[in-house]
Amino acid sequence: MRNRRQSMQFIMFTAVSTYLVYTMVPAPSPSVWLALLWVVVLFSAMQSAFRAFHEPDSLWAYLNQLASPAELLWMKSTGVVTHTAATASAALMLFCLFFGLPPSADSVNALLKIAASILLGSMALASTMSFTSALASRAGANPTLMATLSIPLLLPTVLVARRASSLALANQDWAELAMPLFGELAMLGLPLALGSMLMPYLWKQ
Amino acid sequence: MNNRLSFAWKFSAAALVSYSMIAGLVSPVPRLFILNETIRNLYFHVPMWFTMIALMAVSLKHSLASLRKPGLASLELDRKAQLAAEVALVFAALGLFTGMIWARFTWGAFWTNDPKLNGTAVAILIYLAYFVLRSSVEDPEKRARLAGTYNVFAFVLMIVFIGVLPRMTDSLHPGNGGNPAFGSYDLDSGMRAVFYPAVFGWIGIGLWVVELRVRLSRLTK
Repeated sequence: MRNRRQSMQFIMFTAVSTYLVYTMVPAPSPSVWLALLWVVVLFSAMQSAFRAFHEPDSLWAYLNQLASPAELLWMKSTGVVTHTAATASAALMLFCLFFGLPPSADSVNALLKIAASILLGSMALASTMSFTSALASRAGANPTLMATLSIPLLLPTVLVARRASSLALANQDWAELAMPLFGELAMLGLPLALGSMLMPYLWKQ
Repeated sequence: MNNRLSFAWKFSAAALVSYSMIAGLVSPVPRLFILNETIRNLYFHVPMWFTMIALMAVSLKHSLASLRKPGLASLELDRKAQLAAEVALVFAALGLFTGMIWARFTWGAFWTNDPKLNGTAVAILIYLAYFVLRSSVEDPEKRARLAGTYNVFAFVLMIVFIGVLPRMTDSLHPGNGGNPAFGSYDLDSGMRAVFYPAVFGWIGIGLWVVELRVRLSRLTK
């Protein structure tokens, strides 16, 4: 019930942000279209990651008895990644609805490429933010601190995702897209692997 | 024996840097279009990055050790990690400054949207965030633990960013995005005789500064 309410909140947040963007920039160029989409996805992912580790102490005490720190990270990260993928899909659909697709990408094949690059990129953003959110929650659950810690670490992922989605938007071949998509996949797995190793130290009482 | 060794590497570092500074200004360099005499900046700009990475690796080493050790030993190692990161940031600023001057004369602008420049900006922002994290935790043991984990996490992502990603994208820097590296065309044997001593010398100077800062922090405590 709580999860469904949260999902609805994130989708509402995405819808309102997209509409706000539409009222401000009704006819963006393809590069601005992509940049605005990533901004909306990034802020939705940040909200989702912050909330995932913002739990009362009593709940953490209970969860700590049930699972190891690495398992907790995987559990929370899975939630954040799923939420972010859902909000990114919603954002992409809303962007197509309000702005339409740029002329270079007006085909089903191009849409599939854009969807793949946006989904993988958003999931990669979520996996990095899950760990920084865990860190920020240990340092006093301050959302500003979480943003300060996350944004520099997100830049590599943002740049890889931007490259992948730019190529997808230009409707390049799948062979051309393979490397950036693999980069996004690596940026999804690397923070999870690192986080699993570091979580026992971070979560120590 | 230890004192003699310590003196030897510090003296060598100072000698290598002095040599590279003098030779860097007076030794002959290849005559290259656009680069002209600015190619001498190679002896000053690139060693700053090598030193920054070396000192960040030292900081990482202390952070890893700090996470493994309990109590006071952990705090001491965490302090060393912090001081190494501080000195690394100074070298990052020097690398950025020398690079911006070079870019102005060769590319026509102090800052361009280049993957290596973005990498630098990210490295600096990551370590500034590391200091923000440190300042937001009061309890020293908790601070050591949180800062240590962030340092390890951040260092690995930073290395991926500055070491791997620029090779996948176009760059104005030599050796990236299809541009020939200095090593393949422009860095002749005369330049190598100055460049490598400069790299090792500056890394030595960086380590020396870290050691001095650690000793100073012990005294002020």
